Amino acid sequence: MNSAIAIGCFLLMIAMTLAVTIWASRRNASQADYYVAGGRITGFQNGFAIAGDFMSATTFLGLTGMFFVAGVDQVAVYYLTPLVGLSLMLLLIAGPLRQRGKFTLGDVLSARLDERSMRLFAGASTIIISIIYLIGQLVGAGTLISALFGLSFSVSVILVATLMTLYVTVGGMLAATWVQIIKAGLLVGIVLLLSILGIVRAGGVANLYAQAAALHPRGWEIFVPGTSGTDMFSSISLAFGMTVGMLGLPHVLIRFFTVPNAREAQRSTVAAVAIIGLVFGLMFAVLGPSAIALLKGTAYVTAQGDLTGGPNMASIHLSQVLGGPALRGVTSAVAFATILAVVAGLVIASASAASHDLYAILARKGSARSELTAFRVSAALMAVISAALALVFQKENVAFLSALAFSVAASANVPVLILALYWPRLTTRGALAGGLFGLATSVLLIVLGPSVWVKILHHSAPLFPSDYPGLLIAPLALIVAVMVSLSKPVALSPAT
Amino acid sequence: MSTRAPVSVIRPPSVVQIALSILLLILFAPVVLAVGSADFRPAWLLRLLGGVPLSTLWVLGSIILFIVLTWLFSRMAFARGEEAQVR
Repeated sequence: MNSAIAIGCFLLMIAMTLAVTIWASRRNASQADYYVAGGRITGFQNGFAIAGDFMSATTFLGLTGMFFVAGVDQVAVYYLTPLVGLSLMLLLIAGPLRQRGKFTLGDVLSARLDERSMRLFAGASTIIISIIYLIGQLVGAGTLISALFGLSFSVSVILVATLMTLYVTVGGMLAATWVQIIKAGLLVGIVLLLSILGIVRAGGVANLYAQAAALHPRGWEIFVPGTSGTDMFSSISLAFGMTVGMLGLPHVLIRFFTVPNAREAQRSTVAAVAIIGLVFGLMFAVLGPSAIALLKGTAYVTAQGDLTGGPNMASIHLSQVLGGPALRGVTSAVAFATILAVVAGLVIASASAASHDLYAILARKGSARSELTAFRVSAALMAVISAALALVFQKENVAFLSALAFSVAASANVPVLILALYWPRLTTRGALAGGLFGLATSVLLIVLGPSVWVKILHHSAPLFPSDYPGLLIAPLALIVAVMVSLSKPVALSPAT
Repeated sequence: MSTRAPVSVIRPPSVVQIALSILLLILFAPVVLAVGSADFRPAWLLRLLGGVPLSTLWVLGSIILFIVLTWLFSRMAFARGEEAQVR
């Protein structure tokens, strides 16, 4: 698609986000401003930003496409896991994390363990998880922007990488936060509008479901989980990996440092759950069925039943059917904003870890100014590295990259974080052993799993049955951390 | 950044925190089990209520439940980590 309206909306979105960046740059003065927006974001604003940080283009476009193909089945798990994950985050992590951290995960871990070791571990794991996630987002962005605006894949990736570098190096966390807030607001608006138009076009909710069931080859079965042949281990592994992985995603965790206190951290979570729940509820109950009911039998579906342009185009085609080129242009621009907001959050997380954890330790505590320079250089470097890797991986199935990011987060970060917050006997050796075990084995098992071992490396059968090893590795990493800590305990003292 | 947390303020999660965490997983479990096994699927899920499949209402109800639970949890003091005033 290459219409003037779409390009106009696209340019407007870029202008709006750049204006926010310039505004933010004038308000940024200190290190804290760049890392955590000075801790001045309110709970409600941060809730919108968390929602904007989490709901990626994969969510907005991918899940509607998945519903179009297979009905509710695995989609139901994808829609519920972030809500369960955020609820657990509120119960176990948000408050204590805010109390003990300042800018990064490394702050939280080094608050009671050896600072040098913990910052090196937290910095490395944050950068690895963020870059893996960034590659997936950039490959998705390149594919999507090429399809939406007719640009080449390389130009699309370079455009997004350039913009995200600008947001972060010039505007810091304040700019990234407001880009995420704007994106979340736009996403709520567009999903609400498409849902209302979908129901009206179908002649009511009951008609919408009846038409979808009548037009889909599997009839009413599309509305029932358990019909696509997913085995129990994969189902539980997927749910576990997505839920627990969310507790360890660095770009989500650092959002809790942008609010002034633990009370606002709690409010953030409630607001995020409400916003994500509203969007996901509408997408699940209305947009998915609308895509089937209103797209089947149109020129957007091939004779084989596939969507033209790929399954990710379901929401975009639906907007064309419901509102013509104007609505399609706006929807495409919102999808673009969705990508920008997520990658900005990821770059902030990785650049903060590189400068505040790694650089500060390796440079033996340089000045705040030199650390800020390191932050900007790191942000540009992360953008260059992830864009280069996205160009390398452009032909690959990127689903495994998301699985890898969630699994590494669940296996490496979560056990160490939970023990650091709640178990007094955790030692530095135990935390390092558990964290490194989780990091290495989760990566190894994903390589041996179906997505990489069979689909990419072309072996006949996977050596590990699932793409989500978190169910196995996260508990093992926890046990390793506990055993190593107990094997050489340190005397508990009032202050270590 | 040299904030050091006294180990004495690190305490295991309370029984309430553990119980509520398990409750969340139990509430989520039926969807996960239903996706993983066609045998688990009860017939009533396919019935309609006002033209809407009960399976859809079930997932929507779960979403609303999680929103309400999160709001309730946010009103409980333990989740703020008040015992760990380190900074």
